Amino acid sequence: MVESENRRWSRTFLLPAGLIVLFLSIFPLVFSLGMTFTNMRLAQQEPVRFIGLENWTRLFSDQRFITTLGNTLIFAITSVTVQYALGLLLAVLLNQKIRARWFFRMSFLLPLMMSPVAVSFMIGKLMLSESRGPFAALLMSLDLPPMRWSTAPFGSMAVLIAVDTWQWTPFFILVLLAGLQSVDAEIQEAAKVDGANAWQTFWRITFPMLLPLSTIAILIRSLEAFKVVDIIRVVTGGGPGNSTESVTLYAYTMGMNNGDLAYATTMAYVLLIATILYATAFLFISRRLTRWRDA
Amino acid sequence: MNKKNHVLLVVVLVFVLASIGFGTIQAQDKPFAGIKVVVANNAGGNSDYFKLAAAPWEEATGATVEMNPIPFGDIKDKVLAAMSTDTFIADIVVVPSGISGDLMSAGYVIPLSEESLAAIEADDLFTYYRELNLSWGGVQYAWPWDGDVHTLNYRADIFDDPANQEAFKAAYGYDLAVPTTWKQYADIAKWITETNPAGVPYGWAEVAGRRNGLFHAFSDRAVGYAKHPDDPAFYFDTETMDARVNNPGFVRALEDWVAALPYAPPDVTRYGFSETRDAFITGLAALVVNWTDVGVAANDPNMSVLTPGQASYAILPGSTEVWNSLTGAWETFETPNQPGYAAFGGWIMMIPKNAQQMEAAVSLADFMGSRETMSLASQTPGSGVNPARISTLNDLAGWVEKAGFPTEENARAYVDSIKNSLETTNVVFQLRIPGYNQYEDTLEQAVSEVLAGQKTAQQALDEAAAAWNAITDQLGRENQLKYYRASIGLE
Repeated sequence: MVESENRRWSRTFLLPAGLIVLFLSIFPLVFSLGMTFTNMRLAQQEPVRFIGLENWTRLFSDQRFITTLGNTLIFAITSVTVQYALGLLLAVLLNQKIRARWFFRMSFLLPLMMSPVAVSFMIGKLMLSESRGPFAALLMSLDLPPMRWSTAPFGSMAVLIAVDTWQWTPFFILVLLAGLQSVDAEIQEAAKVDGANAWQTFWRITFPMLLPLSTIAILIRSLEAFKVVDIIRVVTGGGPGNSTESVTLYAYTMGMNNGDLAYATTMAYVLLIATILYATAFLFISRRLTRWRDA
Repeated sequence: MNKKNHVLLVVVLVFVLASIGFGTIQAQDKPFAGIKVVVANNAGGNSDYFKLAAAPWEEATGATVEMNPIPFGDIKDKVLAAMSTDTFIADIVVVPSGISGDLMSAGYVIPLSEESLAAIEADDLFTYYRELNLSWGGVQYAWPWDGDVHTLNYRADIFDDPANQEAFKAAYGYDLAVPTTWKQYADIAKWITETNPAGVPYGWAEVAGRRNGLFHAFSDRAVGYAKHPDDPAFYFDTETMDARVNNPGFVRALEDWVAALPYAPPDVTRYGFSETRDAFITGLAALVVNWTDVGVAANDPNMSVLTPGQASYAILPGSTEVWNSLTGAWETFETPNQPGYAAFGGWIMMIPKNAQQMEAAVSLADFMGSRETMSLASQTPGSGVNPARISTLNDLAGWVEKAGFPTEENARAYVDSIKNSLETTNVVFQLRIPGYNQYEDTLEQAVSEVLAGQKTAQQALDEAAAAWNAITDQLGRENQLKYYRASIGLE
């Protein structure tokens, strides 16, 4: 009797929170899924109507969308890999007993605190400007031809990855440094006593202990990288052609700029599905890797 | 209470009553006292200046103007989204004329009354600016504010130097003069890049950045080759609404542009308005096609390294070979076809039907769109407002005194470059049918691919034309045809 009354009360208390979740999360999700089956536009000239799978079939025959999906994957995987490698290296170095360690730690964290648009403008537009930036001036003073990265798809993507790496490597430094500091020094000491050199200690002891933390950090960063839009918008505008356009930028262009809300929502759904697949695959592989190393 | 206090009380009462009385008289004199008019405008563009220019109106009416600045990249989306959902965004929206098709055709904004037309002296506006930018179906829905057109800015000191004239003639076999064709423009740009006269390293710069004005830069070039004077249409066929952007005129314009790329700064394909302006006023490029703000900026010693008079101005180059879509053949002209292109069309004011302070908004729009306010704005450096009135362009003394042109002759070159563009019957105005953004984005993608060497001009423009036709079908071909015909003044 008392138990059932308690359950009723607990349900009553949970109801507001449940309603909020339903309203803020589930409803938009279901509503936007419904939108993908309509012709909804901004400044609609004709009534909104059900068009079945038209947006979905259009999406998979849209070469530009397929290119942007590829661009997003290349950008996310490459930039996060580079950032992780650099972050790990710098975290290990900053974990050493070096002079002015706090100064280096603070300096390396600064980019993380800056606005992505400001960073994109500063690096992508000013420093790497092919006609006015310091690198252009250096090349000119050496009588070398100017860089022409903005008309080369590979060069443009490399610049975007460089800008993103400059900004986000500190995130890995921060997380991995915290991980390194929590590694039990006695285990490392014991390895040394057993004759392991510095590399063996790191590879066999420290790195495996960082793996769970690394998995979480890589996953969080990857999910962010999949949604990249700001630096691309500022640095390349998605060009040349659409060789650096991400799915989010394309969805934004189609939805907000071109007013095709239903089609843009369909793209957002595909990106969501791709991200879920990526996260699941990534977690599966990391678990297997951890088990393999433990074995 | 003693006598002294009585006197003090009387003085205070008199003062209070006098204040109330004065306030009432003032309120009667100021018809909108206490009212706030919200204006949505582009942040960082002419938004700051708009507030300054509205100060006399605030003083006269007692109202206050509150700016709602929206970043340039978002303004079209936010205004469209608000109006299409009947959400209040502002009492006046200052928007690019490119979205007027979406706003006017859908009936989201009010038309101008006879009183407003008289207040703004509508007859003083350039005819085509008024008919093709401010009106829809013969009805004027927008108040004028900024008139935009692309013109050619060039380094007069390079052209006037006899040594340069001699060297150029020796190299190319004809006189160094202001280019009237894109072919001459390319020759001069090549010669400048190779010889660096006056220390200028590059020949040309244009707004060739994707999402930064590329649509306009391509249109600047295409009008000379593909806007035939006998045909009012340019982008679409006026019978079928089929896209024309892959016709031989457009293709040749793009091929010539690609061929000229080595004579521009290496990152020109990322340039927007400011980068292109800066390329000219900091001596990086000698021929620059941009909005007419450049002319005023070139005279501003705080911005420009050029001395006044080093810069001069002309209508866009064109072509003697012109594609006639009506006959489907090239025609050779004796004098180059230089139609002029009203890129962007300008920032124009509209009053949404759901404005909260309708009467005050109309009064403010009448004031801002008046001859005096617009002329002052156009001649004020850094205002971000370009001329759209005949009287403003005729005021040569004003351009010298207020805008810093060194001589009336130099100012005349500037105003003539605008007049020649806007007064020609062959001028092409900003495309402004519903879905403009979608057409713009698709064409920019194609042109960008060609500039990057990924596709040939024909291949990319064929794809763009197919995409344009698909957009037209998606939005309703019949309606789009009706809107396009209306937008170029055919109906």
